[in-house]
Amino acid sequence: MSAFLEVKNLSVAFPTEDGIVQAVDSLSFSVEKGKTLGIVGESGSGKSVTSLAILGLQKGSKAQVSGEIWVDGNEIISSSESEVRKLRGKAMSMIFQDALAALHPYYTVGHQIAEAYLVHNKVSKKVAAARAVEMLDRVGIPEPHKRVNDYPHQFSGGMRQRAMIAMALSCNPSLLIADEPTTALDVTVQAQILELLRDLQKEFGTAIILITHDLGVVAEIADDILLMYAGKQIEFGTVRDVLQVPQHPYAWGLLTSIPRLTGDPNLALTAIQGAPPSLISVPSGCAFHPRCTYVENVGAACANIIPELLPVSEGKHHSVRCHMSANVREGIFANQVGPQL
Amino acid sequence: MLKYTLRRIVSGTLVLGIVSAIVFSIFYILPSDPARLACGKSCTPELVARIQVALELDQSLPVQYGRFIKGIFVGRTYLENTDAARECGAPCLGYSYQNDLPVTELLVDRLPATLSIAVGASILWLLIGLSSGILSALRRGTWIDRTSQGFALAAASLQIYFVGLVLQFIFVDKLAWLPMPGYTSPFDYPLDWAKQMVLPWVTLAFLLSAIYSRLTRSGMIETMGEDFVRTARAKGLSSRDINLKHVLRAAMTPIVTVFGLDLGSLLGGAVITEYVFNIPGLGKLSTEAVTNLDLPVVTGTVLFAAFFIITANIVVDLLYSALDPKVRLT
Amino acid sequence: MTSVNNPILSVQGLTKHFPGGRDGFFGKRDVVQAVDGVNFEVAAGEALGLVGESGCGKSTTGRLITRLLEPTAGTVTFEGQDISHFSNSQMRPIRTQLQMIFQDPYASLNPRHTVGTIVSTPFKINKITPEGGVKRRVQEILEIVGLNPEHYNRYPHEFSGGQRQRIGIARALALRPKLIVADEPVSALDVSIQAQIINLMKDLQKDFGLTFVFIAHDLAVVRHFAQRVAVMYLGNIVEIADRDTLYATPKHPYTKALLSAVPEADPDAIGARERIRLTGDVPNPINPPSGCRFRTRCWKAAEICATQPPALLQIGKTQVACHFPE
Repeated sequence: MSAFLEVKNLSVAFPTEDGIVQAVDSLSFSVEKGKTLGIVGESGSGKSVTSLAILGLQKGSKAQVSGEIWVDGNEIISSSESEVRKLRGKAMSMIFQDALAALHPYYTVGHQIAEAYLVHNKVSKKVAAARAVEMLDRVGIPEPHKRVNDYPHQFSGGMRQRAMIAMALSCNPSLLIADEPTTALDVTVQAQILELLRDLQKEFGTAIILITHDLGVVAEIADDILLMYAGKQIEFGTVRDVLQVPQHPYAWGLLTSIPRLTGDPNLALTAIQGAPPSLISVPSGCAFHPRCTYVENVGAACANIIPELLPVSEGKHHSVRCHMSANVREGIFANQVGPQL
Repeated sequence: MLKYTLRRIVSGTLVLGIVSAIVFSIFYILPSDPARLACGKSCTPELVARIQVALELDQSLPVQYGRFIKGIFVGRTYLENTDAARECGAPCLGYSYQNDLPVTELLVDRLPATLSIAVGASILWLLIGLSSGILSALRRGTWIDRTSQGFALAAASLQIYFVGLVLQFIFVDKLAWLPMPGYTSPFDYPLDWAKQMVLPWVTLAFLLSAIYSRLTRSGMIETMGEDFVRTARAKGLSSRDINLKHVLRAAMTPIVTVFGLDLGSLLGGAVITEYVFNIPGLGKLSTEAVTNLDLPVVTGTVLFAAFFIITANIVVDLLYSALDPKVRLT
Repeated sequence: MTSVNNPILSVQGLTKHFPGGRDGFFGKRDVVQAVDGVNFEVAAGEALGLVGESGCGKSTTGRLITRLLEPTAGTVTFEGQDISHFSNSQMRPIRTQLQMIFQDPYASLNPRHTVGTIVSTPFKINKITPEGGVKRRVQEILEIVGLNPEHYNRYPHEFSGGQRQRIGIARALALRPKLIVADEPVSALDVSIQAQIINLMKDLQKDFGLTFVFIAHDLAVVRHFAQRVAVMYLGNIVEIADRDTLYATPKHPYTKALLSAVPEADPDAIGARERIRLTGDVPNPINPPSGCRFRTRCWKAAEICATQPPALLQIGKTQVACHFPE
């Protein structure tokens, strides 16, 4: 299956008063139809900026975007705004974290879904309205013919997010980007929404990019994980690879520091010291080195040379950006990290 | 909605009642003789005596107020059964002895001029203010934006009477493109009416379009940063649709309500404009009444203006809830 | 129902109703039943976790305990004193012993005050001068929470989220309180920082013998901090048990569903767990369901659930409010 989305060396920089903020640096990845890629990172990692770049939403702003983004045979970065507009909502859609802020407060939900449909389909308003009801039904909203005339603030958080999904899928896009879709929701509602996304993907074969900071969410529905730190991709692999045999010290830190429902709760969580860097002054060399406890295994390179993204071993799908040799990493993982997971 | 409207009308009427009581009482709390005050500047002792009887000043204050209120509903006859009897039909807002006319008649006579100024100017300032504000917001940071906002700032810093007099000097005195401003009924001579109104309209619109331009611009810019605009872009909507249907629609709500309030207060009299151009409207009437100490007219104009403002407030609140579904009227 | 001897905090029948909108001209005023008849106790030195989803009333309970709100009914007893209706001036000496940490480290610090001012305000308000002076003591506290004492004169915006939360903790610690109510102290922080703050709070608890009421929606976080856990749903407590019992053998269907919904960062764990999917959304607290409030989403709901609200009863090591506990 050829990739529906292919990103090659994407870089996004923002000129600010304090200097250039390199939000994304040479990012490359691809997503196939029917598959889910989880882009994981904390604040400042560049994950949201990436998603906006894929939709070309930074065109016309001060952002400096370079590289190539191929969506269904169309290159986004070099295309004009009007060319990309044809793809937005049709070939690729996006849903956002705060559904209440992301929906227009003055128009009914039905109107907004119909609007999304009418942008790309020359049909009558009646047909579009019917489509809106159909979509609300598909995403599991009860009494859709009634709720279609409600305003966003009249929906509960979970229902609102479903409505946004309905709107995003109204034109059957092949790629859905979900930016922290469940972060603002209760955990029981989050489970419902993730299940809905999984079901819809099975039904329509949509490629999904799920952006999140929550490793549990990624484990639930992603096939692959792309871990980002300070604008760079630092680890990539299947969900099993990255969560069960992680290679990057940052991934180790994350996985050993998150509280879980299993394991000994009396043990102190192994926190990562320090804080995610400000993108205006990204540390030299490996951006993670000030917080990394394994620098001594490598030496001066960590602070001076940016490591390459390399496969963990010959030909493997799993890659990591770290100076430590594979042997050293394996050793550390086996002795220190693995037992904690 | 209906219950809300009724409740607001009831409370609005109460407020009007309170305003009328206050204005009425001031008449009598002032140290001078009320009859003398009602008489006004050009007065004779005989007239004062007559007024004293007419106003029934021997009655207690609440009784007099009661008569006044009653007069509003059923009319009133001053100095009944004398040869100086004056009829004051309902709604009777008092009697102006200086003009020898019921106040209501005076108000009704002056209303069309004020209406013409207010409505005409408001359409003008809305058109100019909105379009320049929208243009500035869309072309933010460019020379278009800077010039139009600079203009707006300059216009806002000029006083109405200054603008009015300068414009009159240029267009009436020097260029003679326009006749002297005044008032002719549009039903009689529509063209003359329009020509005479141009300067008052432009003068008023000068200042207010500046204000509305800034309001629109900042409202649009703020709304453009909202999440739902990003969603609209992500849906593939064209810039035009986004700016009109999403941005403007959301940004307009506070502007519409401000407009309602501005219009409401203007209807009580565009005081400075009318004075500068000598137009026989409510504003001029009220300033003349104050200058001449014709207190019945002052009472009338105050009540009239209060009525418009209260009504405007109610309409604006209703409008706001119609525009913004999140606002539930309770 | 006293499961705790000499509790430092005792809450009985705690209720808070908020007035909502009015229905029509003369209609009844809506009442938001945010907290309805909540009972629990906290022993000195322990950490009680209060978990639940949005609208369950846990934050309101936290504010009632610290008397930022006044209860509509019921009592809050702190160190033997009934503080339920104390006035502000009566609360002032109590507040030296009873403090709160808030969720949003960006909003809960006054941006115009320096760190030094923020942490020294408790001393000023209570007119307490510690040995060595206020500034010295403040710098000591800053160090205890892991901040640089030299940053005494910096402003909140110069700090990261995690550091700001430490400032909030320092402020709460200033007068050496006995009980701290922490309302979602780590929810707004980055994942890699959360562990730091949780560890810090655990160390402080040990070093200073603090008692905590830890309010959170994240069950995994609570598990690493609390010794006992109370689960809330729509204004009621539905289950209280010690940590291990609750997580291993939850008795209330809601607790079970809640635990099964927590995503685990291990793809293999997903298949292993029993998945319980709740349908629908949390009902409106203005019109909570009759009887047991959870019945509209409960797979076990029977007739009695609609007519009789279940009482919080002791079953083994757990107190649970359900007609058909697991």
